[in-house]
Amino acid sequence: MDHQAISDPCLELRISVPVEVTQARPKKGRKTQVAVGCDRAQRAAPQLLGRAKALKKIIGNSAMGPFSSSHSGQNKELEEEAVKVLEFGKSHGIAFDVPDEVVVSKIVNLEKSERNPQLCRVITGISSRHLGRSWVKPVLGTLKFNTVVSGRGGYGVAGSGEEIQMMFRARTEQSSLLEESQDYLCPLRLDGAVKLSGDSGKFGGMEESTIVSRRWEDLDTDILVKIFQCLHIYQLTSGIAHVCSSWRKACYDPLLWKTLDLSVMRSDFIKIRLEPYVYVDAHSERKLTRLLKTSLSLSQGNIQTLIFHFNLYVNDEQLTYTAERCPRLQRLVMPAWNRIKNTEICKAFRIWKDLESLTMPSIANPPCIMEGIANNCKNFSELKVMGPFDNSFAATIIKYLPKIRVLSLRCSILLKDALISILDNLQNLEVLNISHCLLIEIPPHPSPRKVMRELDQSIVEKASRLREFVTCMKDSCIMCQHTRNDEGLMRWYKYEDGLWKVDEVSSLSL
Amino acid sequence: MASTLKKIILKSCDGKILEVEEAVAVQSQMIKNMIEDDCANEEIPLPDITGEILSMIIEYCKMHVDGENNSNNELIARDADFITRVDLNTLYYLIVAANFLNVKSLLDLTCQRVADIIKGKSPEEIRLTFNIKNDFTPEEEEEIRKKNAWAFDYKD
Repeated sequence: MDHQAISDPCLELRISVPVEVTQARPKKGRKTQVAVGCDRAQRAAPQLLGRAKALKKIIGNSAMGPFSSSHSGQNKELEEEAVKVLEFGKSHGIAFDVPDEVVVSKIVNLEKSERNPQLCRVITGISSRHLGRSWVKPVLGTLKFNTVVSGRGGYGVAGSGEEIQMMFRARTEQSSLLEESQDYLCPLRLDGAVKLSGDSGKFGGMEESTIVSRRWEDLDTDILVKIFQCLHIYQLTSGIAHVCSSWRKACYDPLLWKTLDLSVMRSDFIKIRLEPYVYVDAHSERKLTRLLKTSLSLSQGNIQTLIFHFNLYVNDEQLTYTAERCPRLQRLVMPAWNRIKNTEICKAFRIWKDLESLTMPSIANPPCIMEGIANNCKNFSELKVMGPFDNSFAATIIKYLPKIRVLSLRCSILLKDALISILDNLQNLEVLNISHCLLIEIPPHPSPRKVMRELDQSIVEKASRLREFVTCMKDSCIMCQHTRNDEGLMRWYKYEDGLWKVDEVSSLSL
Repeated sequence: MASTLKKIILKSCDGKILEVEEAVAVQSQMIKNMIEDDCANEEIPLPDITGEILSMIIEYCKMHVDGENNSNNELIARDADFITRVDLNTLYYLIVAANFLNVKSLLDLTCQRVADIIKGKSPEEIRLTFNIKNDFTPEEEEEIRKKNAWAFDYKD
């Protein structure tokens, strides 16, 4: 039996801290004392499992049926049964040092398994006044009888009336030792258990014991993940996974990969006059490919939010590669679109069925993209366009994404007519951000187009039905000045890093 | 005021008994839960935490309770001072204990510290620093190397 099979992932139970399994080798004619652990509450659990012989005998004597934890009469019986176990243990030289605050309250339903006559099913209960309810977590566990759960700490837990839970994890390193005393092997299945954690237990009375002391590689995966969350994406993809197998395992944790934020990475590029209007340095191209490969492989398809830097020039291959490996993508921030063909991005949208939110540059031919979103992304509800928003863009959104709820057009050229038709036609729109826009009115020919200095009454009225209508057209506002100076085509690379990430709408801000 | 002066009694695995003001003790979410469940009236045994580590954690929690009115920067400076005094071995026990006791700010601080130590190191340097055994078989390692050859030039 593989010790690592002890936890049951179906129960979404993460075992907190490793428990070393070691062995008490009984010598002929001598009784081996088994005392386990450093914590009194913990002891109560392994004691019950302490020796196969002891328990097997009890199984034989026990005729108890399934039990209900709320039935106090039965609990009393069970407690009596527990006392019997302890006394039995004593008479067989097993140290059962039951602490007074831990009342072993239930030993139930010890039944022989069909698969293995020695496999017993035990539901144990420990109630302790000292332990908080928050510790109770369900888990299925198995434990070899002749093993002793050694000193990695532990906790027995239960709130009043709750069934007690126990959790174990053992390591395989010791399996060779276990084989030496096959006759004692008697796996025990625990329904529920004690949370074991920590690292400072000591053995008492063991004649021989092997405690493998491992440290940083044995940190709880949760903790490792927490540490790795503090790391920069470059660090995370550059070899943490090659340190050892447990670190490698932690590197795959979905928590680390909910968001892949590549906004730290921008291409080295120069602007050129011909399509695609940028030339990207080969080195930064390779660097992106490498970063994508490693992180997408570690993410195992768990990425929900993907953020590219405004000046990162992704190419078709990189986009397709990424799309295929992010099937669960919900939010995409993808500003530089110069080098991507519309056919490729549409292909990507076919994969991103869960996509809800998109931040994109203004593009020349929006219908084919919007149609792609409309046909594939059923939950799509948030759009941010970084760049000029004209009448055709507005018409496209109205046609293909009529149910959109949040729209941000900040810091760019916005035609008044486009704004009005959006307000008139997007019935589900709740939030609209037009802060720092150059709002442009095009009067009938031959009057010149003019920049509006304030919103006129009709727009304010139409917008009054929105939950949130964010505007800013102040001369004194720095962002408004930026937009004006850049003539509505923001050159974000001129400004402080990360300025492009800001949005007055919190769900679109980065 | 009586309730704020209530003491919680903690017992470390090496038998050291520490009395802690409730306001300090509830920095630990675990102890807080126990108090709420009315389970903290007697001494609380902490099976995995030595007296030395426990004292450090209490020192840390106290610092945070006392510094509640201080500016954020001041707290950050104190945190930094606290954590840089800690060696790697102690750091390990602090993390495990902070996780067990669920002291969020300390767990964040210790994890960040480990991350800072990891930063800029190659896998081999990390193993050396943390005394971690490379448990990949040569075949596994070769496979990783082949599959992700690019993953090794971490200093790029």
